[in-house]
Amino acid sequence: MKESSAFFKKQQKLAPYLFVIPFVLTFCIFSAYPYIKSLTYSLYATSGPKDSKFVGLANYQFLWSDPDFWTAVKNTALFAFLSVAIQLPLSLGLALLLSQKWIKGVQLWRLAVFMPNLMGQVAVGVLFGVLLQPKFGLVNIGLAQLLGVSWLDQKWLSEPQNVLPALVLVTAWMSIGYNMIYFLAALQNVDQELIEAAMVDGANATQRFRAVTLPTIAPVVAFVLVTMTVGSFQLYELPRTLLNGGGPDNRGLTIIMYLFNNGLLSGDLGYASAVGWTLAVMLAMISGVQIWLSGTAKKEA
Amino acid sequence: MRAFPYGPAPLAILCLAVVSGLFLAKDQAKKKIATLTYWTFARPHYEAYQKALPKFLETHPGVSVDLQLVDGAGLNQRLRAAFQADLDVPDMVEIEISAAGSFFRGPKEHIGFMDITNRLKSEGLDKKIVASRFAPYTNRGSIFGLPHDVHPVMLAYNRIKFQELGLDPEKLDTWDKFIEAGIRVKQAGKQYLLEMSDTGVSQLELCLFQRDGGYFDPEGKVIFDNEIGIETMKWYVPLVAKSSKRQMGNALSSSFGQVMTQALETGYFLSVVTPDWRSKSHEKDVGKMSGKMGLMPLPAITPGGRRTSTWGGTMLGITKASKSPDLAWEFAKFLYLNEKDLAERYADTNILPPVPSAWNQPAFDKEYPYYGGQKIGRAYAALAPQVPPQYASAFVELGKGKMGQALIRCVEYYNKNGEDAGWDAFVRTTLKSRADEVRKQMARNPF
Repeated sequence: MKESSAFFKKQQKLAPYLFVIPFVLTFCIFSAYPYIKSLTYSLYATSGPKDSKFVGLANYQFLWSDPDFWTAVKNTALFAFLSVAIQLPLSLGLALLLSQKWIKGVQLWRLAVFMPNLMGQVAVGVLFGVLLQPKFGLVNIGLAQLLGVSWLDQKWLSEPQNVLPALVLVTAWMSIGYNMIYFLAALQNVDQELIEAAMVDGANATQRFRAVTLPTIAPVVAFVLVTMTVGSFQLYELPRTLLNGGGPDNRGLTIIMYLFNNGLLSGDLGYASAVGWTLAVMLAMISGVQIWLSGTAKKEA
Repeated sequence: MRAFPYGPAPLAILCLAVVSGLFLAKDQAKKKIATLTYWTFARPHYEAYQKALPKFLETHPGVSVDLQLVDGAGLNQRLRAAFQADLDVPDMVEIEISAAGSFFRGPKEHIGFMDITNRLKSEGLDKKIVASRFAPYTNRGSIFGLPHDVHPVMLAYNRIKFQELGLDPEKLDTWDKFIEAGIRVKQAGKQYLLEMSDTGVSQLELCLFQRDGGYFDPEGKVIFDNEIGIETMKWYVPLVAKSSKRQMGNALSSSFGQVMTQALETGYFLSVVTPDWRSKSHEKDVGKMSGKMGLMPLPAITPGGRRTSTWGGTMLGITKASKSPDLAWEFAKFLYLNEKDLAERYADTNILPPVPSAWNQPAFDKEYPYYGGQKIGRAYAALAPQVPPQYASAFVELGKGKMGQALIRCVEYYNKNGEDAGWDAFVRTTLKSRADEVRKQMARNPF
């Protein structure tokens, strides 16, 4: 009995390490090693992993003057900005609306708004690829009826200037419900007594939202803002399925797609790694700024 | 339970892990062991090979072939990963023409496919196959793939609408006449004589090939900004630009599936570019048009000129990792060069094999009710010797993308300014700047 309790004592000391080991091993094999390897690759010209030639920072230098990379950056940044600008207020607005007790069947409405997110980007891409067809697409047919014209030949996916708006709107349709869930959860934490006190003080709905609700849910807003931005910068499956690649004039080319094309379609792992590390630095900077700004805003509030 | 020091939940997790681990260990997926593994991305090929396989196995006792149908994009990625990791590399694999070049990147000795030049020459097979079809699969003087097809291009047209509109396909033998008719019958947003894209290069590039142009020359140098490229662009843009009086073509977002079915059924497109493989797609996807469609050769640039071009293609490569390269070569010849089987396969797929001696088989004289009783095999075979070559490069996809961007810029310019004094210079500089971007990318490649 003594022996076994000594064994368990020893095991209890070791237990935390034993629990951590699987994660550490997994992290080292599947994260740390690829990070280091890709950082090394980014300094090489490669043709698959077998053929490589050290080129120093040449990949990063080329990146600087590569018009396709900048097209991808521009598209992705614009997509991120528009997505955040559209989705954040809409998600928050819907959450505020669907947290009202006077709405009948509120659970059903919440489910309806959330449902598109269950489909996955590939399925949504295929679905909207058909809906947005010119002439025979349901969207054009519906709009034609709405506008009272016999036909509408709007090319949503093959007219370069329409590509990004189409991507933003499809993503919004899909993601608003997901972000709404965060806000719904955050709204549960708003102190009702404070709201009632504000009402007694004569604050109207806008004032109550600005002075009570928003400061309470500010950390969640910051979280959603950061995850939404990071998610937007990782956009890949939707344009790949919706546009079958970068789309006309590369207007749907995203940074991740450019990375994928270089690394896995062309076998240029070195250049793809340089793109990946540049993206990582960009994301870290953007997220840092967003967190700093939301921290400042919270302090001011 | 009580003796377990970390409580019941970790104990339950541990038990589940042990039980599921034992279950997985017991029911391991059996590894397929075959003498040859063969990947293809095209279902018609896969189905045809499945039919042909028993005959090959009869004459090769003890041999087994694992035929696998893999999604097109997935196949390229899986193959690239397999080459890179030296793991699960198939013995034989079919690659689509536009992806083939990407496997020829890097030092020649590290290309994953076997160089079949000597085998072809020593057996005289290079003379048996349409010579132009080796071009896309040739790199630095070596042939790495056996061509599966020729893919001559014709126009599939709506026979009924043509009659109603007084269009005689026999008389539309030059592009000038065809364009004139196209302008006459166009009803904006309702009816176009030909499917032609103002943003994608599918139709533009076959016009480029018809004029003996292309993306790359036999040495792999970028040439789409040469005089042929410039002239083709200047000719093509007014045919698709909305503001142009010569506009006669239009495109939908997709050339396939339900959209194309509706476009053909409703007469939105009166004709579409149709290589041999697409003639089968129309039969399958647009069944309602049976008996109402016809096929005509592509109009020539000048009277008496080339009446076809090419769209698509597939190569069969034998990988260097194959443990049975001789058997793989035998199987490749069985599938690709056996004249009787080629005729049977043609009947299933409408795809003209690149072996002219096979075209004498009766199957190529079959009348197709879908195309009003036309002998389409004979028609494609008659055009096959004129099929222009396409040359290989690891940068073909990039070239196509840049050509597409140039097309969009030129259409934008044309819609704004028409053929003003600056038109010629604009086309030249646009094509040159895009071609230079490809050259710049190529210059980075140190191998």
